[in-house]
Amino acid sequence: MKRRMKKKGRKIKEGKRIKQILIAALIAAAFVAPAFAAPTLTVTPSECISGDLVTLRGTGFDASEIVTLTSTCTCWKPVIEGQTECCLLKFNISNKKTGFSLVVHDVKDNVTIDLRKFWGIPFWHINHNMLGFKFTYDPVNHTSKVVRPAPIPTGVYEVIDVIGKPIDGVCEVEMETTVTTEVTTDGTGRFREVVDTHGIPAPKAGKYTVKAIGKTSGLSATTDLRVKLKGDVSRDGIVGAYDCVSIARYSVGLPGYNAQTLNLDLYTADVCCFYQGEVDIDDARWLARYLVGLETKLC
Amino acid sequence: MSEKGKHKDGKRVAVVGLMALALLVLTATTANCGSPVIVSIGNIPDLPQGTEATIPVKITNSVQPVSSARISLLYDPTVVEITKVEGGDFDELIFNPDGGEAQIIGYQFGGSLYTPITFADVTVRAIGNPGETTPLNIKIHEINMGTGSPIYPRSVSNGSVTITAPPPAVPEFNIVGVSVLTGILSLFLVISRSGKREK
Repeated sequence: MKRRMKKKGRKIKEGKRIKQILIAALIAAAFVAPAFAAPTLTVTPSECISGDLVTLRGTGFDASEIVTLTSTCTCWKPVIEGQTECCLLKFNISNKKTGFSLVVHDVKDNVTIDLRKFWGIPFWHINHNMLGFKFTYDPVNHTSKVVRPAPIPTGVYEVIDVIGKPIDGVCEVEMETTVTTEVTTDGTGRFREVVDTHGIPAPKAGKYTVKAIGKTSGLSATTDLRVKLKGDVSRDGIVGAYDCVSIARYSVGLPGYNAQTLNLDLYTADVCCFYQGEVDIDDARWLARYLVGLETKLC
Repeated sequence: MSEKGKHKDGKRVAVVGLMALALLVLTATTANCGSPVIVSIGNIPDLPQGTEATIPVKITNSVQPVSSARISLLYDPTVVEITKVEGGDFDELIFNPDGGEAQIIGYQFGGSLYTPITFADVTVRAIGNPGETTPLNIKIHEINMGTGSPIYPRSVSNGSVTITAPPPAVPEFNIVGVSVLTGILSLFLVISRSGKREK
């Protein structure tokens, strides 16, 4: 009987010990976990209108680590009168550690960039390696690449316009833009970067994917940023007369003006307050009237 | 001035000169030196008070074809009023004659236009007093290529309107009045003749 009691007592003790070990392990895990937590990247707000300020916040990176923020956007542009272009207007670069690269497919080796920093300054016509821009061309795949590594002078760029002449028989050209920025984390592995979305066009799929990669740790995180701008049918980051042209040309069926090259979703393009439900010439006219002040809003 | 001071001044002049030269070279070698696209409007030096005249707004000197443009015309609304904006070469033209700044937008449905382009025919009415003048100043909001890229560099050639005295009033030919008068005269003539015959 005594033996049985002893055995039972030993079993209870062992059970207690296991419980204690488990609790201790859980407590230890709870304390240790943050150190190994996966890095996070958030953008606030996650949906914005071109021109808004958004804040990127990262956590879980190494302390005082340089983190590279990369945003890539692929778009298609129509070929009109023998050339194609990708235009960013009033593009605001607030962090001088910003660089960008642009890959243009199906073009001849003649991509150029027109750049205007602000009024009163000459309009730069960049057609060879100059002002920090580097041009390369792959003649097999007809792909042209332009890279402008950091640092870039900060401020609002009135116009960044990339123009190319496509190879024969092409009526739409694919362009891939990558903007890269570097930030440094604080002592706890966090960073915060405010981004001005002026001049950032609403992408075709409606969102940009932003990726943060720690330079030394290799840790990475991604997030999505949705950018939209009512009326920016041509996807150049502003609402202007060319959006009227784009809607009008789409309405009359001009080749190259289609859902692939334009933002034709109802939010962006169906701006006429009288006739809702489809994108047509009334939207071009309404937008034109809005631009000259005859209408007060886009619907 | 001492010899030392003269030397310093000379150095300063040389440095400023070199800087100016460097700036000139930098600008000359990297800027797009193409001649600018010009938006122009003419002058009306003698618009009689109360009358209207039409002035074309032209876009010239663009190497690239133009798909759209948005331009404002700034004027003194106490001197002239804009009564009409029409015509032009664009497929569609829309304007807002808001007092003092007429905003005009023109855009293409189809192919782009090659310069010279008539952007719009603007009709102004002289509502001010004789001797008053208003500038017609052009403000370019945007001029775009066929692909949507903005066209640069740009230049404007402004115009003006000066009001003169209204033309002297010419009495209007009143057909009814003349007919009545002729009738009365004829009646008198008939009565007087018949009176003579009776005598």
